[in-house]
Amino acid sequence: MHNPRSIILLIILGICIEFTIATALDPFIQQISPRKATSVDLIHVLFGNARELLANHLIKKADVYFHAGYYPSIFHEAAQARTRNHLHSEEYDEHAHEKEMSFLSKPKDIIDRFGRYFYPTEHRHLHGHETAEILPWLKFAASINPQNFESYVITAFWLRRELHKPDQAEAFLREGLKANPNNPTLLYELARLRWEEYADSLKATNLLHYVLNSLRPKIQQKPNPEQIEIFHRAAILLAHIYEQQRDFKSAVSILQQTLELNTAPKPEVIQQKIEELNQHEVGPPTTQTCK
Amino acid sequence: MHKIIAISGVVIKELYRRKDFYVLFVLTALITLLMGSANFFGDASLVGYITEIALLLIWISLLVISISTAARQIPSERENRTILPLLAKPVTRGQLIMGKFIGSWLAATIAMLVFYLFLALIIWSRGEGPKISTYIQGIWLHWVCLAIITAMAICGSVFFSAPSANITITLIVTSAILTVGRYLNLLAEQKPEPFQSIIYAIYYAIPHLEWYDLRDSIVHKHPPAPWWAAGVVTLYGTVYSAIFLTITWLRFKRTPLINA
Repeated sequence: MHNPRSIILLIILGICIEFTIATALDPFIQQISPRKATSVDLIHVLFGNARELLANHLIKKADVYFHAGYYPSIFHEAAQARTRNHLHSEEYDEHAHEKEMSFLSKPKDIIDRFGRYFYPTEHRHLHGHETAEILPWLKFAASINPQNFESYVITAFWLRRELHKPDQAEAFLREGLKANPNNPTLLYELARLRWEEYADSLKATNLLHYVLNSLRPKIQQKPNPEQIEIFHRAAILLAHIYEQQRDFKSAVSILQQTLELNTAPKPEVIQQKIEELNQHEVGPPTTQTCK
Repeated sequence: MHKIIAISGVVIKELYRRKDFYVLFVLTALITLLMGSANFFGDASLVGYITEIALLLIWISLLVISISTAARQIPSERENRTILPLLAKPVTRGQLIMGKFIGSWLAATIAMLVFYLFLALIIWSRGEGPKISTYIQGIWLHWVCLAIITAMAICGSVFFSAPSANITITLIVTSAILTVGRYLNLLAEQKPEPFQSIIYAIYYAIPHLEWYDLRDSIVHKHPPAPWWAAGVVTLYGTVYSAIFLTITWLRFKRTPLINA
């Protein structure tokens, strides 16, 4: 009984029994808790819910690359509640970002002071083709957790803004939309891309109207900061497109929606813009645009 | 000196015979090549992510190779009772320790050079790699770091009863220093007394291995650290290695050669 051959045979027998039981039980398990179609892919099976954490870590890694390695660790206070607006928008609060990134205070002791020779201690951002270095991490993040739409938004932003590859940016956003159907953020980014890169006002306005129409009832029922922000951005872009097309009436109507739903962070600016657009309707057209 | 060289020669030959190095190298090469074959939006010149992943694998592999090689030297000589004829040559216990240390360190050095050569071929064949001066400094400091780690593992081998315990503890300690050693002062500040003083004492006492880790500077294409600073950490590494080897010698000269 103790010879290796019998042990191997026993193991093989055990595997066969386990396989037989598994095939017999699987239909019952399927009835009790059916598997979703996505769960069959290898990454889902391997990582389970940990893939959300891993994808977030990979997006953070892209941020580290964007700052050329200068990044707060979990031991620095700046690591808490960091925003990622600087990663996918030109309109981030530069002052707040600088404050976030000044996490390296004066050296506390000689070891701290001397150790700073051996790691990046200067805050800078990548520019131009250098920014391509962040893309592998974002693509890994999107592969691991396709439901995290942030990776698609950030990737598309850099692909078109610094790397001048709008076609690839669009393809990647559409890939994101396949994994996140009707996601308003992705649809907004797609509309922005169609307008800014191809001046395709038809597709852009259609997409933006879809975003506004899908978010309006949600905001009316239960306001959510993310939805409010994307609604506001979509409305501003749509109003801008209408203004460019000299359709001032539609632009005013869109901006009024942001006031009605209270989504504008600065309603007085929107009100001022509406008055300006109303004047255009009666007065001579100007080239001023909505910011 | 020739006795030390002879002992170290035997340790280096052990590296060829054992499979650890080959397995770790093939694994590192496979993962690096697999990562390198991925296509990211049609840009084949991206090297940052490959360098980062490969350097992480190199550090892990060399930690394993250096610690497992060094930790087994003295216990295996004692277990096989080959230590008795070895010391009857005559070789002093100090020479034996030095021979084992230099052999283990050089074995790790050979492995390190193979790994870094492979990485250099991969990254510079793809596009603009890191600054060469930073890369060379990174290799140099990694080499000094391996000396400290090897000395630590040799030191552990005269204190722990089994090589497995020594390997595990040395791996945990070096990994902990490499990952949180730099932040112990920040951690100490947040703690009440007496924990604050204890953490500060650890912070000042440990060898700061994180200084030798230039991965961030290599990956993000930063210039090298000032060369005088590299000189200072080389000296610092030499002192720490000497301390560990002296402790080993002090302990080993009072230890019976054969376990009862």
